[in-house]
Amino acid sequence: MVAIIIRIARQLFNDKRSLALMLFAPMFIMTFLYLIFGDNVYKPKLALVDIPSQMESAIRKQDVVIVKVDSSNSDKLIEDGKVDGVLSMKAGVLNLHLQKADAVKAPKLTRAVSDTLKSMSGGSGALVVDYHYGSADESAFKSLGYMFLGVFSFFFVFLISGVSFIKERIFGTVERFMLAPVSRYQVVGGYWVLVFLL
Amino acid sequence: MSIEVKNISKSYPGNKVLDNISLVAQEGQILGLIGPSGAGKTTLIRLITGAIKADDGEIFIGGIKVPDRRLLKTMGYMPQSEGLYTDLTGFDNMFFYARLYGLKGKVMVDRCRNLLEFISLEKDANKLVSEYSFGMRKRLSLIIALIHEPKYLFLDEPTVGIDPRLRLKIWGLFDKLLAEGKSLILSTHVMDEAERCESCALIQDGHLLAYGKTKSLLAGTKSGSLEELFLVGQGGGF
Repeated sequence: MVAIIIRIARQLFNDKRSLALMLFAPMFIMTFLYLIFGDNVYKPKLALVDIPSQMESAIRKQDVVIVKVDSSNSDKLIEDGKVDGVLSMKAGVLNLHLQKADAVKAPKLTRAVSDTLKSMSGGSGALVVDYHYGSADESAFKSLGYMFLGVFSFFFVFLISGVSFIKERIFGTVERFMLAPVSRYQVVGGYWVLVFLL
Repeated sequence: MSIEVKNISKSYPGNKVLDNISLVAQEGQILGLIGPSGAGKTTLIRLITGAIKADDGEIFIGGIKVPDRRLLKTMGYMPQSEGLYTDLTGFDNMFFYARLYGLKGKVMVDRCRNLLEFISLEKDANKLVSEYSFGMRKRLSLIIALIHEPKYLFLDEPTVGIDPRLRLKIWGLFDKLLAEGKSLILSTHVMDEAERCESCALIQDGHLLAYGKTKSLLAGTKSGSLEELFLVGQGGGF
């Protein structure tokens, strides 16, 4: 076992490219993850339907963008993605209708509205939260699953095409077909088309 | 339309592989590159094909300076590492390279079948190359170099691991190619094969020990064998 440990350590040391990949690839990926998830400056858009003006001005103090609409087209706004949620008042009950139970916008809106209620006259009045798509008890798996499906399949396509190119180098087939009358662009294009189809 | 190598030098970090090599391979002849392993034969062949760049010197094939895209169609190269896809069948390997050279359809299939028959591999052509023996791979690799009927052939140790009967057959093929006016450069470390080449270049440690017509080289030795030239050249041997 010691022999294997020493051998692999030596191989890794001789393979500077892999070491560099291990160091820089995570930094690179984290940069992209920050660009996707690190959007703390995002202000969720909230549509107000029949909300008393006193409450409206209280909500405007929160970190949200307010749109005033009437009840007839609020569903359409949600479906088009124009707003992230609709706050309406029916028979003294506040209803927060959110587009979906995601990880960023939904909690932000919910917090904004409940903070507003707390700031106003000791938190009277009930708040009902429901969702246009999905439900509150959706697990993190359900909401993140689709994203990871994409990430993983891309990752494996990348891995497989990479391995197949390494095989070409090892078996010396690269040198052989580069001496055939094909241009580099044709080679890259051929790889690209198939990987794209995958 | 000869192949001219002029003052070629090549080094990799830490060692000089070829030092100021000059030679000319006449059209319609076999030039044998002979030398022990590590002498620089493979590097010289790769330089001539244009696969790698020389540090110094120039190479001309038929008056065109290497590397040049116009030359690619006229060159056939059989690398020492077979350059086959082990996860494809023999046929698929041939078809891949044939298509790269623009062959298609029935012409391509017929050509491939003829070549496979010649090296008695037609029965195994539908097997994966990973199931092939070393000799079978070598043979397949050789005919792939011939697939587009190239004018210049560069063969890196083409007969290593091939049994004597088939070796004779392959030399018969070389003679046929020469008769068609093709030029061959091959590397070998088998001396009796070297003696069948019209011209020979003896390479050791990146230096050209001797170069000329094989007959006149042999005439200059006491024992009449090329081995002697290496022994004289290095005062040591292999």
